[in-house]
Amino acid sequence: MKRWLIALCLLLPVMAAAGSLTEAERAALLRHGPWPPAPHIDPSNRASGNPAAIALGQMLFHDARLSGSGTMACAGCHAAEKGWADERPTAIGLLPVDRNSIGLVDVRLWRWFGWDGAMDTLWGQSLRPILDPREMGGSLAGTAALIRDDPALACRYRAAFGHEPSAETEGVAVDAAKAIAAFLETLTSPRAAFDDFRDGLAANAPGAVDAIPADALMGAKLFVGRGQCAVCHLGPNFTNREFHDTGVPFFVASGRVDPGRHGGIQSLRASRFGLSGPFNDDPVAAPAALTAAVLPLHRNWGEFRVPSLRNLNLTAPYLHDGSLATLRDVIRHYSELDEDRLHADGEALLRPLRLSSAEIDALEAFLRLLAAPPMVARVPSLTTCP
Amino acid sequence: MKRLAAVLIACLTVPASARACDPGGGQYILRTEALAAALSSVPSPIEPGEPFDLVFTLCSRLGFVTEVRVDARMPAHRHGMNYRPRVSAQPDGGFRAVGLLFHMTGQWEILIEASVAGRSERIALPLDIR
Repeated sequence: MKRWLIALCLLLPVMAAAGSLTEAERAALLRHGPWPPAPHIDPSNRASGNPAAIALGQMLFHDARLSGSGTMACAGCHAAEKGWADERPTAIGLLPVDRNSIGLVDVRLWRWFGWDGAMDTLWGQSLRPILDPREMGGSLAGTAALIRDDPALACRYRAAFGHEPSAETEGVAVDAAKAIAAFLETLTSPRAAFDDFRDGLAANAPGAVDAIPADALMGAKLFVGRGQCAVCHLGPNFTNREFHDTGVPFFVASGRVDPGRHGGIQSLRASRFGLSGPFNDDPVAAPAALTAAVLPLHRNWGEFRVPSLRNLNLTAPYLHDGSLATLRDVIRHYSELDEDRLHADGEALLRPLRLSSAEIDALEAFLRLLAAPPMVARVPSLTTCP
Repeated sequence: MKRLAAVLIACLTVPASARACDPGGGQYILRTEALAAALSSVPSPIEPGEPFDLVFTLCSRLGFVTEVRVDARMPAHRHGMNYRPRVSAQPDGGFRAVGLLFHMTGQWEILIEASVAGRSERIALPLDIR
């Protein structure tokens, strides 16, 4: 009884404060929807939205023969039931990798790909792990040969692209990556409890504010208010699609650092598989203007992508290095932020939030409104072809 | 300021004396002692996290306007954009800056710098991005 009373006393301030929303809070929460966004075809990828290419891409995503060893498929580190990520802190391909396998749901909405934004096309990013010796250790020649030599894949390729796979190795391998990208574009977050809450607010539905638990409402107020989370985790997908230093140590091993966005910009500029390269199918290539304008700065060292907050229940552990095991750990990280680890010339926004235990509970309850049910992969049969 | 000066986006010349210093129409009209500008964003309104272009005209009653540059910053956060906009002269005598993106919500300031009669002049547009 005594314990219950203490718990009630701790919760009372939270519950009292959560009873209503100011107009500013309401307006800020409305900006996180509606969900899902309208379907979008990627003009840089002629396979985007093509059902035959999507089927081919789905097969290739699960096909370990793309790897140099024949043992590692894309799905090895991006499993549907893990939000198209995996449960390891950092990925293990053919060799250990420094970063966490990033969840691929809603990847069609990204502007830059990977934790460091080293690519500006989804198809270019789909090719990158195939070629990386630490991940799949494959090759352009091996990818093209697989497409040409496997009757089921060659048949699917013809259906997707309208012609036989050519003798031009690089082009066929890029087409394979474009088919994988077409498949990945179909991975979309389902509507979450937050979306119903947000749409209720938008419609001025009676009782809309009370449609979520009191602690989650308090968390919502913190998210758009004192916590300033929505400054970067903005819009319907809860991300600005850019990069920030959040005070995580740069060192990945003794004497070795992860350069983050700084290295990503260098890789982007060196790649042939981006918007500025010869394989872009978009004759206008308007988004390439942003690629041309990307600015390498000293503060990009140690910056990593701002991830979406949808489906977080499926994608633990968290951060680019998988160093935080739980959502509560992530909230504590921002609550007790080590300012000494932030760039001196970096963000002046990030300061320790010094959240109370009840506020941490509230923010976690709010983030769980964005949870998704378990996801399931459907692996198509290799033996059939239309 | 030093960094802005170092980041030379374009070297363009407007014969300001050939026309009256009336920047014309736009979403925003700005005037300083030296410069007058009419600006519009494309698309409008500016959404956080989304790229936009800036279409503007610029003139000065003091003389030729050269070396037009565009940048933006968040003064309270002590940083600018992650992008370096490119400025080009347009057939109508105006300018277009491409490659702008406000990656956070909050108070931003668009800066247009130009040389007028051998001096560097700046005009600023404060914006609240939500």
